[in-house]
Amino acid sequence: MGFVNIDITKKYPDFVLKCRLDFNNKINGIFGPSGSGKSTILNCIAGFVAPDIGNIKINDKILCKISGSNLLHNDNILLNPEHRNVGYVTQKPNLFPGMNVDENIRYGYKDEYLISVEEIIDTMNIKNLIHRYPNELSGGEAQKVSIARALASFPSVILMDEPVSELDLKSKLMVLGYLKKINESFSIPIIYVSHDISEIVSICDKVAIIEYGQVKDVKNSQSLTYFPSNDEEFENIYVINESISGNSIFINNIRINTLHKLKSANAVILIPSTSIILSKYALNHIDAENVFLGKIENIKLMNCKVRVFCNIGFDIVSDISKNSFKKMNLNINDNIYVIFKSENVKISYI
Amino acid sequence: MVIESLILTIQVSIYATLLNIPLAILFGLIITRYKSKSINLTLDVLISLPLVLPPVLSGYFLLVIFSPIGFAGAFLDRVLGVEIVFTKMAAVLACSIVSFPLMARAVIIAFDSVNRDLEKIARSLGAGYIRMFFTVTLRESKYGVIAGILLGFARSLGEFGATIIFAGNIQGISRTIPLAIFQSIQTGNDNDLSLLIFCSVGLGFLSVLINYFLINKSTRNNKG
Repeated sequence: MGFVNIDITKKYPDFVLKCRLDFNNKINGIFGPSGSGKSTILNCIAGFVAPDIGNIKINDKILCKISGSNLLHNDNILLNPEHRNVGYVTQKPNLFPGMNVDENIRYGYKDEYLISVEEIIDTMNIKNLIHRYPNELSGGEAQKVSIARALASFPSVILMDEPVSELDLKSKLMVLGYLKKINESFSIPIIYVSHDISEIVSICDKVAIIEYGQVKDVKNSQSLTYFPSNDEEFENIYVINESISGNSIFINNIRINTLHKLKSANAVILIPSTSIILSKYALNHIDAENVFLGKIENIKLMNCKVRVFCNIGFDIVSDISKNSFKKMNLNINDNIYVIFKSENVKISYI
Repeated sequence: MVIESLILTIQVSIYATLLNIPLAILFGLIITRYKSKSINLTLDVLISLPLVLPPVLSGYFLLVIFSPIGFAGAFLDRVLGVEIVFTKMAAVLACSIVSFPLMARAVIIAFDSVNRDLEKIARSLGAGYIRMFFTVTLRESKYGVIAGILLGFARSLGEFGATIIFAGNIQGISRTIPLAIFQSIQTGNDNDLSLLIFCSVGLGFLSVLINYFLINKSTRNNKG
């Protein structure tokens, strides 16, 4: 059994969330497109939304157990948010404006807690900020304080709803780094929601993929691939841990050219599915720097386009138009040239 | 007469305002935080009604309800031996009914402008409803709430129609400044009239000015 167990159903007039998930005590990701129900799951765990039916447990403490439509039924349990001991970090830092950083952090702190506020302030490296007010902080600093505030209530789990989506790259990397650190230092599990796959791959141990209110898959984040079931554009994702040479990276010993020199050995490479060109014949004198001969492994017809799954020493997926698919007469096991420009290889650092 | 009316007006307005504050906060919380559309609509109509009815009619309703043969009046008379009509308490109730919509509307707007995520976070940090209300909701909406209280107080200072019907025009008991002005015009007492007009305009001007600064501060806080 995992650390956090949820099995809930929540019906809205135009949307039904039905999910069963177990989270461990590391950083757990919930990934999915906007409107897929990710934030509703967090709101159910935090107690801001009551599921219609189901139960939520954290380390065997029952937060919610609803067995029928009548919430007042004797067997039903629905703890108020203040009794759940769950930290909650939102997209915006949402620090209390009339309180300084120190007062914000101490809002949920009790003296009997095993962690001291000073320890948290040291871990998050915000000692220089404690007398400042929220309007005197940068976005990254404010989000660090908001995480410290959640941490100071000594929660059983910290819920994070896209906490770095409004930050610039530098602040984003800084905050993500601290999340790993607090998970390791204080052994507090984190449930991290995002629609940005690179964030999820960067920090999560396990990822649940949610689509249309349903759990589509639960995977180890390092082996994460995600193909939306609709025509939505998506990105081929590769986690790089080593093998860097100048403007090149290696995936399964295949050299990929990038536009910029890599700054760190730990990075996630993203190649949008629509930026990949397929050709049945070799093209000479072409300006794209990445040209590979591979095989078509699968073909999937979508509503407006065709998704072609290729292998060029590693798996890569290209979305092409139905018109091109007809003209090219592509079949499974055909040899195919996979072509993409180095500028379409996006890099996100872990 | 002028000093007596001035003191009485301030007294009656303070009592009416104190009576309205908890009700305005309660209605404000229900309307902005409770999700039932039908209950919200009913409360909204109830709050707005005294604003659109002639004050004289509000006074007449109070008279019917609190007269010794009215249901509330008879009850109070029988159980507590208290008579309300034509007393200072009647003047307070009349001011309270007429000024309530202004205070409640301002409080509703102030509560509505508070970021709900702050309240959610306070709850997740272990704060119950009461702690959350005082440390987040009220703290974040304080200027708007104070502005509403002041607006209600200012409206009470000028109340005439409901008071004269429900509390009468009795010196030292219900003759507030507006009623004293009415009395001075009727009796041709120009000396008192000038003083009363000066007091009335002065009090009103001061209330509206403070209210203006508070609303400005509240708007600036919400933007910031």
